[in-house]
Amino acid sequence: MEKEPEPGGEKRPIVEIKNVNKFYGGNHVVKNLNLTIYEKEFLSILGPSGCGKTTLLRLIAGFEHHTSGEILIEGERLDNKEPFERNINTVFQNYALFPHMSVYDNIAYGLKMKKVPKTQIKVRVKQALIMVRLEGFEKRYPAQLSGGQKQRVAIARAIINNPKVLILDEPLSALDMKLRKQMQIELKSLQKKLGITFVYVTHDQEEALAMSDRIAVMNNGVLDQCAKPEEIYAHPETKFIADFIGETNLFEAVVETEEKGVAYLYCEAGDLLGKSENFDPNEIIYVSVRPEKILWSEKPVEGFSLGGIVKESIYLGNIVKTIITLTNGQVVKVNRPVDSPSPQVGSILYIYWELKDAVMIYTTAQDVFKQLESVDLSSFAQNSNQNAGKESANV
Amino acid sequence: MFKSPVWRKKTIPLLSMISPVSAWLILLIALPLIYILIISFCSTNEAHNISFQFSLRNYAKLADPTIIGIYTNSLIISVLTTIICIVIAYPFAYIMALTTPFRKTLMMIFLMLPFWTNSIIRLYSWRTLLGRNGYINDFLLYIGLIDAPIEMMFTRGAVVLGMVYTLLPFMVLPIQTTIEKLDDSLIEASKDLGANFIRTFRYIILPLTAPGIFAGSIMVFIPSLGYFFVSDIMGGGGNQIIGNIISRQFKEASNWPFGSALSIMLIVITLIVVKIYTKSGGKIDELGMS
Repeated sequence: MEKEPEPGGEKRPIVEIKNVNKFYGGNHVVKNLNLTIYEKEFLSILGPSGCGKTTLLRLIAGFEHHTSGEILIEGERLDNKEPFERNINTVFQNYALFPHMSVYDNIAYGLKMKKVPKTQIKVRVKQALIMVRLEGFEKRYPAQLSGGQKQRVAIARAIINNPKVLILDEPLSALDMKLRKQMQIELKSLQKKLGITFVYVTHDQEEALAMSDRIAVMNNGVLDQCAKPEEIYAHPETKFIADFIGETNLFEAVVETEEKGVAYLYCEAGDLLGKSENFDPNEIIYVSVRPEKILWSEKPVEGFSLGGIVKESIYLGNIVKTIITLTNGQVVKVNRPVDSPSPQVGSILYIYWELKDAVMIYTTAQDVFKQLESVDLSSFAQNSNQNAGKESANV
Repeated sequence: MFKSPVWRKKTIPLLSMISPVSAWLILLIALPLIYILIISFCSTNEAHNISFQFSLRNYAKLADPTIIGIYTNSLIISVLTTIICIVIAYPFAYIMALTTPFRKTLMMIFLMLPFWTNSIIRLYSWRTLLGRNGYINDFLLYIGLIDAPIEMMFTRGAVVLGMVYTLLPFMVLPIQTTIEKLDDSLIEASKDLGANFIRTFRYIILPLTAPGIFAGSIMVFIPSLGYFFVSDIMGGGGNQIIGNIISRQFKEASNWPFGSALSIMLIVITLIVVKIYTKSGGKIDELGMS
């Protein structure tokens, strides 16, 4: 079996999704999406339910046709090809094993459709069963298998066809926690062994972080960010990602001035400092700080600090989570290892963080104000009655 | 005993609940069946009254060539009816199961609406279409395709047509139910694994909906052995089915014992068919319309 290419090495694109839109009636489900999936990579498509990730997957597999844009597989346009004409296989969320066929017939189905000789089918089914560690289950029927076993049969049934891309639609969501963790490791090593591109759809951010080479985060039909797990965690590009991937504390702030690489920010709970990133004056941003990066002191510290009161301390086994309420009522979460000191419940303290630990997230919130400024209120006043005209003039 | 609390609180309410049903079943189904079984072993006297003397003559008469001929004809009609019903009902049920709820309701109404009219009246209406001076013959003569009217009524084909027309819904409904229960992702999985629609139908859809076809076949096959009014209206005298000879024995011939023997034979055939059905994995419950 081939090995995974070195990171940074020459990667060949295998699936190219260009400006793809999908409408269901009036619903815009996938919005102008661009994504390139490379050979032999493990790409996760992550997002909350209803974000369009399953639709995107169905577009790649060919169960749905996109409204506009193009999807290329190995440089070839696939717009009008049916699923059975694409060299892509899918592992379905509910496994979709054929209930009237034995494990052997289920796995052999794809080869049978391709008219592979029977003797060869026999050998390859056996190999596939060994691959998913289900030797001796040939004669069983799906109803006689456990969830994890069905999962393995579904995977064997897909990989036996040597697809260019294997699509997995939340394949582990029906399994219990322990089995899921075990299957995560198995899937990852299977992908390395086979050298097939895996497109893995999930709503579980932990699963995505643990398994993927890259993660594509989708929200509301838009691809927010596609990057390595570390990159996504450390430098989320949108507020949604910061909030969705791991735990974080978000502070909404207005940029007041910037000097010598430091941005002076105004936030409801107090003034903050941040890394300067050439903001516009009055730009509205979010400052995202992970709970493990927040520091505290009993007295205000030089630079900036936000005062608050310790509300609660929660023991979580490996960490202690401290909940602090700031002066404006905002709740801040702080995580500390169990053996390090944590603040007393009820005590007043000041939180701060190192500038490098905070991620500045751009928003488009200030655009609303820009647009408001450009509205010609006089024309509005003329068209409406006098009272409304007075009110808008006061604004 | 009658005053014990268990009797008062459990047994009496239970009895009062099931008694009406039990009484109905015993009086109107079990007893008449037993009576028919008994008189099938009796004979008639000159005044056409039943004389209660044990004899196997009625069953011996079943081997009569005329009777065997009618049984054979009846079975051929039933088999043809069932096959034609499957061929018509399957695509109809398939579309019905997969279309929008509105269209499904519409199709269901079209399927059921004729049943609001008496089936004998509906069958007579076929005469105006198929008769010697019916609309179809008139039309074919008019466009010059034929020189003389074709005999369409009073043929075996007409009886089969009438049977299909009367029994089609009983085939559509069970098939539609099984298609509706079919998981879409199985069809997608089949396509994903390289099967086009025809092969997906052959290997996935058809085997998984076979129970519906089977249940529908039972519900069409068995009544079509006995619906004598269909063969009366559509087949005239030459195309009799089992139901016809039974009804004639009870009415015109006044030979109840022989009619009973014929009925018992029909019940035996029915039981054999149902037994084949359950033996091959069918469930009795699925014969009820769901």
